Amino acid sequence: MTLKRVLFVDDDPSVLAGLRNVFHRERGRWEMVFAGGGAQALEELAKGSFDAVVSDMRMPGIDGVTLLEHVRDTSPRTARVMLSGSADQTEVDRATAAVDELLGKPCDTRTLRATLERMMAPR
Amino acid sequence: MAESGDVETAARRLTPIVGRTRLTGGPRRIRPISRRDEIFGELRDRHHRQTDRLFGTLLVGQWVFAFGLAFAIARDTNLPLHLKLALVVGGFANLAALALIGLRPGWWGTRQVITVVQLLWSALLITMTDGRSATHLHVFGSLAFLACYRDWKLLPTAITVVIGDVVFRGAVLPDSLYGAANGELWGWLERLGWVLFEALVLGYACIRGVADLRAAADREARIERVAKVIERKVDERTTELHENMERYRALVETTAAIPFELDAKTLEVLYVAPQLTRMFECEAADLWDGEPFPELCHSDDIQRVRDAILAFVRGKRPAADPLDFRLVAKSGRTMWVRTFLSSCEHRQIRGLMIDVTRQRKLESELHQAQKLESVGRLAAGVAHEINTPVQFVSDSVQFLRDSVADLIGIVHKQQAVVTSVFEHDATSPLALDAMTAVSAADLPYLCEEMPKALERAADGLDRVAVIVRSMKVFAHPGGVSGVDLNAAIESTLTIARNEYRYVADVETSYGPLPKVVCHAGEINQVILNVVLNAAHAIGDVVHATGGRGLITVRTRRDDDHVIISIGDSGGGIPEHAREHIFDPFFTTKQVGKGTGQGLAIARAVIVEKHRGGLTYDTQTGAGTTFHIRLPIQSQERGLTA
Repeated sequence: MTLKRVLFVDDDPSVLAGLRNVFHRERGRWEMVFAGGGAQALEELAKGSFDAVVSDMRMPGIDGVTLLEHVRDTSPRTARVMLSGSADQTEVDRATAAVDELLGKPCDTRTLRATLERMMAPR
Repeated sequence: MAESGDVETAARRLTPIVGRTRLTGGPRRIRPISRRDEIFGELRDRHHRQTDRLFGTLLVGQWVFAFGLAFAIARDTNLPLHLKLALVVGGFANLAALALIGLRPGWWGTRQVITVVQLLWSALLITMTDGRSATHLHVFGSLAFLACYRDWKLLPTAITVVIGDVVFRGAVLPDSLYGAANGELWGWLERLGWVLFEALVLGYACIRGVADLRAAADREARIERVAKVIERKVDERTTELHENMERYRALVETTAAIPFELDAKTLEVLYVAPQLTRMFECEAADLWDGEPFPELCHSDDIQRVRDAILAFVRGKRPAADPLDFRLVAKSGRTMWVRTFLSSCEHRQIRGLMIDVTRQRKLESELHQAQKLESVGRLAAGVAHEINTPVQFVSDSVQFLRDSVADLIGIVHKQQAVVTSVFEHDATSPLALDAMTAVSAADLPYLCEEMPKALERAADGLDRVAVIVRSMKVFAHPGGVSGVDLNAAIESTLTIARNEYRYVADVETSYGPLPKVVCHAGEINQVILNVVLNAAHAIGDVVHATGGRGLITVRTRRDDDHVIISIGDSGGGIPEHAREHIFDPFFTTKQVGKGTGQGLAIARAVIVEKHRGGLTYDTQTGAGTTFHIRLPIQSQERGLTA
């Protein structure tokens, strides 16, 4: 069984470290890559394909919406999940169009895991 | 007679007519001449002049005729005397009469002279024809002609001349009067009798003629009087009409309510009272340019206004329902108006608008203040609620950090034991089990990551605590108190961090400040608004480039004031917006991003409430710096008072 490749993107290193810890248990099934920003995420995307991308919404430079729009355009089969702490309705509206799933921060680990499992399951 | 429309004539008519001065009969007094007499005088004078001219022609004609006659007679018989008489007498008499006609036409003396001259002509012609009886009829012709003057006073003169002629020549030259000296004894008496009879008839005709003239003058004066009355009435009515129009115009164009009229079909503006342009301090063209009325509104209001008006046209919206919306001039100046649509007839909608900008501003400020107040209370409550779990979570994390360090030490030691057992006996089930579990759990990873995770948890809790504390400081629900502005700014920056951290770094430089007595909640709100504006200004610039800007915050004391300067490296305030930035509801931000309230409220809080100053420096392309100046002393005095 091949490992599912998941890319996590967040500009806050603490958030990224937390994600790395909680999903360490999945290391037997998932191959996880962690990117500290939009630019780094694009580099990773250029290096190889992913089954899912989990991104923060508000980031300096390339933000989450731009990043996931890029993913949607270049790799339509990749599942796109947005993690957002924003309550700004216009931003939420903008994000909704670019993602498969929009989850609010703070997000329960079990919810995120279930979402990823469901989306990466063979259809 | 009445020349309507001629102002000068009318004015002349209105001036009172004052008559000539009468010197006879007692003390000097002014007798007004009636208009009838005046007209009569004018008519008679005109008549006299015309007749004068007629006689002028007649006299010249007679002279020419006399010449012809003289030559004709001279051919038969030699009578040079007649020729001389015709030339000299006729010529001199004519000259005198013609001179008077030319110089004094219409004068009574002129026609008296003409009378004498004309009858002299009769005598002359009779003399020239040697008393031909037919020529005597010339006297009758002359009398009849003189009657054209309609002046009976000429007839005695005429008769005197005739009598004089008859008596004089009858005695001296009877031949020239009766032809051959036949000596008809009573012939002259008979002739005179006929002359007198004709004179009587003509005199009567003259008097009747004058009476007719007077009657005509009377009629004309009457018509004139009636015309004048009508004219005065028309003038009065016109003045009244103008006064009424003025009153209605004043009502429509000077009150605070602004009437307007729209085309019910296209919703185009047909009329708006000029108060609207005065209110906006602009030309009508800067406000609307033929577009439908709803398009003059703020983009958020267009659809609502259009729907409301159309509902009104269809009778589905009661006339009394007020409709509030923002009108926007091309300059960007915005005003809130309350509209009452009142009637829709003949495809025209009429209504009134009232400027409610100030009211909306006050409502909005009150709303903001209430919101701030409730947010403050809420924040204080929420902070307390959050702080309680934060307390025990933080205690638990601290306990785990200590325990995990101990535990890892123990695990390492036990791991050494397990390893040595496994090396000694690779088949020991206990050791094998332990080794498998270590591998499955990735023990080195756990040992490495667990303390770090707890470290992060502690950091995160600190961040939560700072945010909660900032929220409490920021929202500060209380009234006026001594405030450490540097701490307040720091809290506000924490609250606003999410707005700027993606686009800008913040550089702070806090000078030593005394406690400033002010309304902390409101001052924080102002600082937040200015910081948010700075973040948005930078966001607009770096959005395209992806770079980062800089927000600088400096505080310093300046004598009895403190100055807070908040600068950004954004694009500066556009030239056209500079004079409006403190206007309520004015915004250059895109729809949904700004209410246009921030700086208006900032001004109200700093300038009006705290008697401070709010100024800015801006440079296109380089950024904007706002300076908030707050008094230390006056506020302290305000507090103790």
